[in-house]
Amino acid sequence: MSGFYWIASYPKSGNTWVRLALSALIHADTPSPSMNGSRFAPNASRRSDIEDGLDVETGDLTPDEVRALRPAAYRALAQTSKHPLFRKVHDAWSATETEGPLFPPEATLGTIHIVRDPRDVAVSWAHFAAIDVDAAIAILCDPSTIIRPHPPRVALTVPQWLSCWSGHARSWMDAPGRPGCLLRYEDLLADPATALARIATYAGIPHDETRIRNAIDATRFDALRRQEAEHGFNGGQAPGRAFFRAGRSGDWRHLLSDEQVERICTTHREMMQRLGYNESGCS
Amino acid sequence: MPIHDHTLCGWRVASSLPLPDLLPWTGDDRAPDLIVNVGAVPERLDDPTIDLPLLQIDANGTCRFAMPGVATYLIDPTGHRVIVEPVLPADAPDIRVFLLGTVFGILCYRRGLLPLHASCVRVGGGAVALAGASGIGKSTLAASLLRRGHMILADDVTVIDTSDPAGPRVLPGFPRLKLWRDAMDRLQLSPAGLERTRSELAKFHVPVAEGFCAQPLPLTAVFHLDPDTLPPGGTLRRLRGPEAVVRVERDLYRRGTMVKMGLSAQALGSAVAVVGVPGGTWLVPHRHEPGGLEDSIAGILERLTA
Repeated sequence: MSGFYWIASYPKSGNTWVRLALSALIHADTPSPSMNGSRFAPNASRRSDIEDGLDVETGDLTPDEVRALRPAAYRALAQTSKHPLFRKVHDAWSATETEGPLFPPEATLGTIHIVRDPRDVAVSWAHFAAIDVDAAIAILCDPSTIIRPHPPRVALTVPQWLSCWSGHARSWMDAPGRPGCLLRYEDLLADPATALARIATYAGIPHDETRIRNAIDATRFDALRRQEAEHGFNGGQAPGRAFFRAGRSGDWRHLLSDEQVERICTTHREMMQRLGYNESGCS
Repeated sequence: MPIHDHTLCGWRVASSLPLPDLLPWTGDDRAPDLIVNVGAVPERLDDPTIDLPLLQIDANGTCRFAMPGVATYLIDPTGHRVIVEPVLPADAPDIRVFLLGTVFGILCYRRGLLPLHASCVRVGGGAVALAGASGIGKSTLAASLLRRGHMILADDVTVIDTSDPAGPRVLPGFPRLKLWRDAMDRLQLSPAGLERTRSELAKFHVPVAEGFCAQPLPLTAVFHLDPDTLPPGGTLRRLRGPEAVVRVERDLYRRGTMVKMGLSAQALGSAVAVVGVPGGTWLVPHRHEPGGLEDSIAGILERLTA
């Protein structure tokens, strides 16, 4: 009997970097796999995971059955695993209609929750999905957003219930059980060593200063971008788009119009204040 | 209760549940190899060693699999007897979907056979498995190869007998494909008159009829369809040694169930036998984008004729 560490974030908020850095830290003693070879912390909505937990083909289930049975799948995987399981999650924390929380507290060891300024998320998402910024902002403001793979993409995941940016952040911050390890993307960028050490301590991953430094060095943004340029990286981005784009915070200041900034601030003001994203730009 | 006389993997199947997916038995008058009965399944097994919401396994190896709202299935430890307690009407296709899915997988493992998560077609005189995760496009690829004249041995679950000293053999399943509506549209197949796999899903049972190969054939090659291989549109790569074995294990049908049944060592032995097939095992960078299917078919056929 073990359980899950959920690496939970809204999309485009640093989840991939955290997973790569944790993978580098955990596998510090073995030759580091390339970022493509690393299967550390796969998506919790991956069909193969849910099928292993449920002993059934997800393609034979209705969408309602998949949603209702996901908690049972996670409980089963936790029950039969001897080691902590790390999973990336973009779903909001929520309760299913009949089967309790989607991410059952009794199968949860902890949550690493990453947040990012929604104005930068909008810029990043627009680049990632090859959509215009207004379309990205509309997604960030829509509480009914569900991520599902669209043909011709291969559908290896089940639908992910995202909520809007505020709803997503609130859902994980207010989730019952052990309080999450909350990190801001901006703080990860400013001081990655401290952030990674915090996560490692929270998740019980052995570490010391050298190991942390090596993991950070192996996953520096320029290194990841170089690997992507050389070997490619499939992070679900639109064809022809780089997954590792800029790795900066604050791009919104010169890429969003005042009106676009205002639209984000109006919808998300309360959560932006709660997370310290109100220092400038929002009137 | 009428007994339906069918065949599956060369077994004689006597079933009180109608199984229209399966071909009728045309062999000798041997006793059935598999008996499927409609009957009462206990609410839970006594003292299960695996106790999950859908699956229970007891110390003797009896498995109980329950699909809420559809049916409950009880599988004996030798894989020769299944009791089905339907929730839906007994002729609902949903009941067969799970009988020929998870329950079929359990039966194979219990009988010492290796079920690969793969569709399977005949190329030349051999069977070629097209393996991969749910949603990758195994059935679509098989349907496209059928259109090019390659007969189908199995869809979704390819049963391999590794006990023959002459090498692994594929035991033919039954003459139908399961295809999503969007895949049928791409293949210009009409769903008119076809049965849905589940009443709420746009996924259909597509009969294969004369395109079905009912003879067991030697397994000549395994192609693992992989969406993550980079760069996109790259070429097929031959897998060898431990990497090949790991890949076969990853593409086992209901691998998680097999592990819970405690059969990992048995499955490993079979996987090692599979990677020794003469045509080898290959990683196919499979894409759903326009041209992806044709690229995969061209790559696969090229390797088989090389």
